[in-house]
Amino acid sequence: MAMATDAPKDGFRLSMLVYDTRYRSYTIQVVVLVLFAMAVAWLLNNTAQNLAARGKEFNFGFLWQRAGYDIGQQLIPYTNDSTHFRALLVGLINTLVVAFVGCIFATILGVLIGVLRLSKNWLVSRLMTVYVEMFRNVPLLLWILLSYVLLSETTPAPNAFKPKASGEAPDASMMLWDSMAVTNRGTNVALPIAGWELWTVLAVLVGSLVTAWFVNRTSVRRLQEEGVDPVSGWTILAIAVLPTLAVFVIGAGWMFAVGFLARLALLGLVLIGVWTALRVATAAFPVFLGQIVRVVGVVVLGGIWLFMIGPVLWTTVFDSLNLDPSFQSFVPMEVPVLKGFNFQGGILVAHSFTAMVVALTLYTAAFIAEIVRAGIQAISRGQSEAAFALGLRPGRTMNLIILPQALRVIIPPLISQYLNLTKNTSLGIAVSYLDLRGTLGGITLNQTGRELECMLLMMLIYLTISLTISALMNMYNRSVQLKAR
Amino acid sequence: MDQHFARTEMLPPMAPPITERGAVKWLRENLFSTPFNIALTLAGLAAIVWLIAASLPWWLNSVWTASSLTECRQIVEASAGPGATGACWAMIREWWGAFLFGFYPPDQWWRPILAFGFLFAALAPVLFSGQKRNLTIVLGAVAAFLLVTLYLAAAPGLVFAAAILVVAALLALVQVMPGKLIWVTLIYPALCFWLLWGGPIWSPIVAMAGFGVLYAVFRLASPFIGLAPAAGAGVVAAVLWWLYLDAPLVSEIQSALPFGLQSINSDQFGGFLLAIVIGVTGISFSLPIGILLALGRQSDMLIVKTLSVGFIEFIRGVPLITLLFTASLLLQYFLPPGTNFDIILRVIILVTFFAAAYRAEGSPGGPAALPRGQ
Repeated sequence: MAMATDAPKDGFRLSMLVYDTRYRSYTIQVVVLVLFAMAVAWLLNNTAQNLAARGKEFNFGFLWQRAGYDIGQQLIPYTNDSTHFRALLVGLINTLVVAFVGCIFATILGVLIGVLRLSKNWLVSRLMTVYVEMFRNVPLLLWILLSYVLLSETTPAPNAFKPKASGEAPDASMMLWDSMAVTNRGTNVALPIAGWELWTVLAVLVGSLVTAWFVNRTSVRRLQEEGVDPVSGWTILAIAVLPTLAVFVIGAGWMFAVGFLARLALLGLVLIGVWTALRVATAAFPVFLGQIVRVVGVVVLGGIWLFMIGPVLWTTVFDSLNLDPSFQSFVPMEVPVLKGFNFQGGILVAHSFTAMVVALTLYTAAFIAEIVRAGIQAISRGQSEAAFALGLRPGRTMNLIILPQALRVIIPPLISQYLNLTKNTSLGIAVSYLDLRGTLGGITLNQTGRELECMLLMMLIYLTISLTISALMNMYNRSVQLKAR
Repeated sequence: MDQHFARTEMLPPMAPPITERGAVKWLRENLFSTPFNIALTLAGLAAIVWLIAASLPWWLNSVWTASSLTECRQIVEASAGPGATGACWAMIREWWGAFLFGFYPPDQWWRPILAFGFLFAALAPVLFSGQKRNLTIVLGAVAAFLLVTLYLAAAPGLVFAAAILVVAALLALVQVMPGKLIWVTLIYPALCFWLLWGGPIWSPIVAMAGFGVLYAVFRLASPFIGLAPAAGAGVVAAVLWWLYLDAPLVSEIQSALPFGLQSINSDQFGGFLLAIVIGVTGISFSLPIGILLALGRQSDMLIVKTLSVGFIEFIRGVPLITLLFTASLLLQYFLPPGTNFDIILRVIILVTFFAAAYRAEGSPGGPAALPRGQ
């Protein structure tokens, strides 16, 4: 009996290339490949003809010529005598720095806003909605320009920091214990001077972080194996932070240390006192009204103490004892000082950099907030209800149940956002932030007239950065993704 | 013993306690549920108060009419005292036309307005195919928009009458045959092009006739040589029509029957007009290209897949600004010597590629979060 499904034995016909599914895909691929090759050849041929017509050649030799222009922000040594290649490197580093700082800040702010947007507090969630919609729906370029204009137009000129001739206090003063000056020309920040003090602080910092990490790991292992949690999260945080803080406070002079601790203790006493007094006073109130009165009272009275009574009290006490409790930095700092018309010393952070970081952070944070919110909402409510039923507290439910699952939904779009942020740094040209686009794709291109080489090189570099970020984040993504077994 | 202590009648229901009803309940649950929430509410209120206090004077001291920034400041200082700051909207008033139309000649502003109004008439049949009620609503809105804006732009009476006539005709068409409105969508690209850039009316008509040629050749040839070859022959005929017959035919008809609009150069476009032209064209062209790329990306055919993925990753890996740079600096290298390509067209091509690559990528997050077994 002949099998009905036997393949037809007749030979190959030309029409089978189109109508037979076994061959059709080869036909399509060959046609596509031929078309693609023809298009590439056509483009290359045109390019060669155009280059010849303009008397230009395709070579990258211009990269080793003298650049002849200055770059405001340079993290590696560069003068206008350096080569175009050096300018390219400076620009590339500027791009990477602003992208890196922006990604970190945007993640922190984005996660915070995304979680707050889900808050049960009506006012806070509405405010966060306004934030997200406002920043998402206005082009990034406008935010960059706005933050740059605000920074450079509303900050005081350097001469506003000078004491007036009449002996009055100057119009503007430096911030953070006289270590930072924001002027309309940029932000001058004190720079620590390398020495044994700096190395001590760094050693303490690294040591405490490593210890905290180690304690945390052991603690988690014991929690998983034996069911006891020997060290709480707060203790681990204290191990990580307190030693460095202690070095700073003690190193700031014993007078400051005593004064600082005394002030801290008294503030605590005042707050506890207010809380207890209000508790007694509101004992007869309904629970909920009493709570409001207590919190409002503590915030308001604490604020009055901290900003109005406290400073006056301390000045009086220290003056009468003839003591100087001012903050002395343990690590010697190169502090910006007003000399002539400008601040000298420390490092000058240009407003273009600050504006880029601020705008990129605020803009991308709005998108990250939405991603985080979507990720948390994607976890079905049954998960958190089950966790509550097991007796887990809300914080633990979030850390142990919701976030690990939400990360799977959050990470892939987050990668896109990091890539977007990195690519968006090319808008820095609007505030003359000389990144890769500003040096290689801007001034170098205009000076040398090498559009083809500059553009191709720039695209190649951006492509490399993007693919690298993408590959790294995909590796991380694979580690948190659901393992299908 | 027939004492009993059970009630014989129901008590009337009592009102819930004050904290469990009305505004108090809402406040308690939404703003003051825990100490932490109370603190958050206070912080939120403080932020709002600070924002308003910091910006309110600036809004209140707004100046709407002034001829210069200095005059603005003088007016603010005169009304609100020295050192006061205020918004100066006079500049916005002055430049409003340029924000909307760029350097488009003011006496021709009615053309982009008409194109913008009819854009919705062209979109409506796609969105509400055959739904008489919705189509009528959209066309009514278009009519209202055109009446107001054409009046504001001081359009010539003839244009006014023609616009009303066309919308009225479309409204009548919707009442009789709502399905036929799709023809407006098909004609719209040519109409919009002609309205915006001007020139002889014959050039869009002759260009559209190319599609007619395609269809005619296809219909005539398909009984003899099969569907696919007939379609190919149609395309070839249409391309030949556009390459060789189009331009001479337009100039012939134009010299016999001169009718057209003042030609507007691409460099006179600007503002909102430019944004809408590039945006709408980019969105509509990127849709089919994006779908093709997405299909190619999923394909089993190695070469097609490699090319699609390569294209998508390349476009997604570089900033849009470098692509726009490519449009303005490099396209002239890639095209045959002597080609002079319109700048808006160049930008549209690159924006279309950009949008298509992003569309093809879709949302990678969703499917990955689900277990494979689903």
